[in-house]
Amino acid sequence: MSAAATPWRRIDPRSIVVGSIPHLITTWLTFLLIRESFSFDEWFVREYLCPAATVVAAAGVIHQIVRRATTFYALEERTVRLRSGWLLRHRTAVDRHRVRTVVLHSGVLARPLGLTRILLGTGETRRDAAVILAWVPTAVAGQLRAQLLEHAGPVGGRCGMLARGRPSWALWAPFTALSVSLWAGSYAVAYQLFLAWFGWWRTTQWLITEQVDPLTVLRVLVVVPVVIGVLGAVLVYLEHWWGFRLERTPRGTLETRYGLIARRSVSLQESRLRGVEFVQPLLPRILHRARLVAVTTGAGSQRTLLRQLPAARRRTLLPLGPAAQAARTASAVLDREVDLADLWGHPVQARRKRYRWAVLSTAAVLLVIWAVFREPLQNQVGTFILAGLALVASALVIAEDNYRSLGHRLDPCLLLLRNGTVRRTTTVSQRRTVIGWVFRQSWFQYRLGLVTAVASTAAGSGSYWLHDAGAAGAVRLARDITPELIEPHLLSQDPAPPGEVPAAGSTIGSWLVFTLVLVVAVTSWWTSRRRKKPDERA
Amino acid sequence: MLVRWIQASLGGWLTDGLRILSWVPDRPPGSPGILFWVPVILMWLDRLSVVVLVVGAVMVLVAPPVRYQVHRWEVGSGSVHVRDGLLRIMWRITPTDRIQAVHVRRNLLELALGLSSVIVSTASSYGPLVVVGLDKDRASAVADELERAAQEASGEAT
Repeated sequence: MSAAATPWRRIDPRSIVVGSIPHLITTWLTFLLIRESFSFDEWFVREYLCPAATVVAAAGVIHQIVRRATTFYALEERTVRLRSGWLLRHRTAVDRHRVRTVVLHSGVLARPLGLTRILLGTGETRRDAAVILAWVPTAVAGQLRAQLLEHAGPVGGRCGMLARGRPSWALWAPFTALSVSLWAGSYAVAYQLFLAWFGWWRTTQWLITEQVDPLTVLRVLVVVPVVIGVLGAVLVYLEHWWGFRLERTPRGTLETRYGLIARRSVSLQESRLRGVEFVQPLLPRILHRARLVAVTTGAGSQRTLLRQLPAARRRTLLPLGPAAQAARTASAVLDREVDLADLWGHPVQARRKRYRWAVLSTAAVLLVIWAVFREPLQNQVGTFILAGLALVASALVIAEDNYRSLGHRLDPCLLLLRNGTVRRTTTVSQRRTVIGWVFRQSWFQYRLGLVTAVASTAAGSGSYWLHDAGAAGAVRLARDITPELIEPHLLSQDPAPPGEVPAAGSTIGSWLVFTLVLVVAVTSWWTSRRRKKPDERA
Repeated sequence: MLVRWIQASLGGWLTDGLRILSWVPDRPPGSPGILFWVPVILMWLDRLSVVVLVVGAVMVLVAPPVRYQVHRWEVGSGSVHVRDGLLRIMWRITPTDRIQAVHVRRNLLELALGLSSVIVSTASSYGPLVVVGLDKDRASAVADELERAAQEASGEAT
């Protein structure tokens, strides 16, 4: 690298402000927390705590100033370079052709100042594989993105707006896991605050002296957290996905833009797009909602790159919205008709496997519970049996749903794979992206004549899983997708290639295990009972 | 005798274990010191040794023949196919143009037996394909063949 020729550029001076303010706020809050938590003397706070806080705050600001002074970036013909650090020097060079994703993010503080943070995603899967450039003026960031993805590749289809989010979709946000966690979290926070400020004893006294209706207390306890959960989920959805739009640019990229307060923009190189994924958590699935996510290299598994924008959200092509809209968007993105109905089912042996696992695992859990809490439970055998039956029944329902979720189909150009209960995902991938196969068969699957086929794609983008397919069917599917890979191996002298596994063995084995566990448990219970008797007599 | 020892060890295994788990151990009167736990830990190590013994015996006596029976490999035109596994059998098919490197390994045991293993590394998340226990001449011939096939296929092998 010739140092003179490299056109080094500095980051924006205002990044000192953007970097310092969060640090100052956290320092101030920590100081307050320490001062309030311990009952320090006045002089201790004045002589030690205040100076310490000042030093920490100043150190943060100085760090930001040094960072601004020592961070340089350069966009060369072939590489993107970044060097930073004063005592610990850090240099990064990324091949421009390797840049597959560009994320622009300008948060609450940066947006009023007109600054943006840039993240460059490459095909690597290491945690620190991406390059983060913080902060540059928003206009410069846009130029940089345009330069980086200048020749991103061929354009996949019609350019222009592909999809647009609607504010009314936020009404369905309360049915996501976020809502439940807010709901539960508000309980936890309220409980902690309540204990800290009032305490049980004083509250109980107050409730008694004021003669508060217990029903009112109950109402408050139920309604307030639910309202917080619902409102919080809606607000978070609105802030995050406000003004969502998905566009295809003439440069050959797919671009999403969204955010109400913080503004985000993600560019995916379209030639690296392997397919799309419909993600449907349990409740949104019942309500015909779905989220559309891109399956691509270079935006995938790095979870900690940019904490404000986790990988799953970075790859979002459409936030949680109507399933029909998601399907239309998928068709537009892949430039092919995507039909999610009428998937081919999997053999009944897959259902049997799930039922068996449901019964055996819940039985094991119940046995352990019974063994550990034997003494308190002995007075309530009836309740225990009823609860156990309810648990087994719900496990069976989940097993049935999980079996019904299984499905796959091979279209002329697309491969559709579906599975999952709590989080049902339907992967729609382009057939040509499959480059290799792995067939896995556990002992249980062998006895049922099932096989799990894993279609591997290029590095970084992971693989597509076909869970519990019939052995012959899985091989046929693989042969249809990549005949040149599978056919040479079909006539091998393999004693049991996937296609020739005998179907449906007997189920005696697992019942034998079940009975064995039962016998051991009953025996142990019996022996422990006998052992106790002498003590009782004494 | 061994059988009786195993029976005696495993017989009380569950009950004692569960008693400790449920915090009603046979404590001596008064508050037990740290020495109280020494025999408990020793007892658990004793029980654990039985498990190790049984699993080890299975791994030594049963697993190798099964693994040998399961393990198969073939080099097709443009692809490599390796099958291996014990409780979970895996068939792995990789095109030769995705091969990143081919190694021939001979560790001490293989050296003593005159064998070699061929290790084909790919960009797969399952790690390299390993063909274990080939005759050493055969192994180097296979490795040469795969290297040639990989070189012929141009590409970035990812």
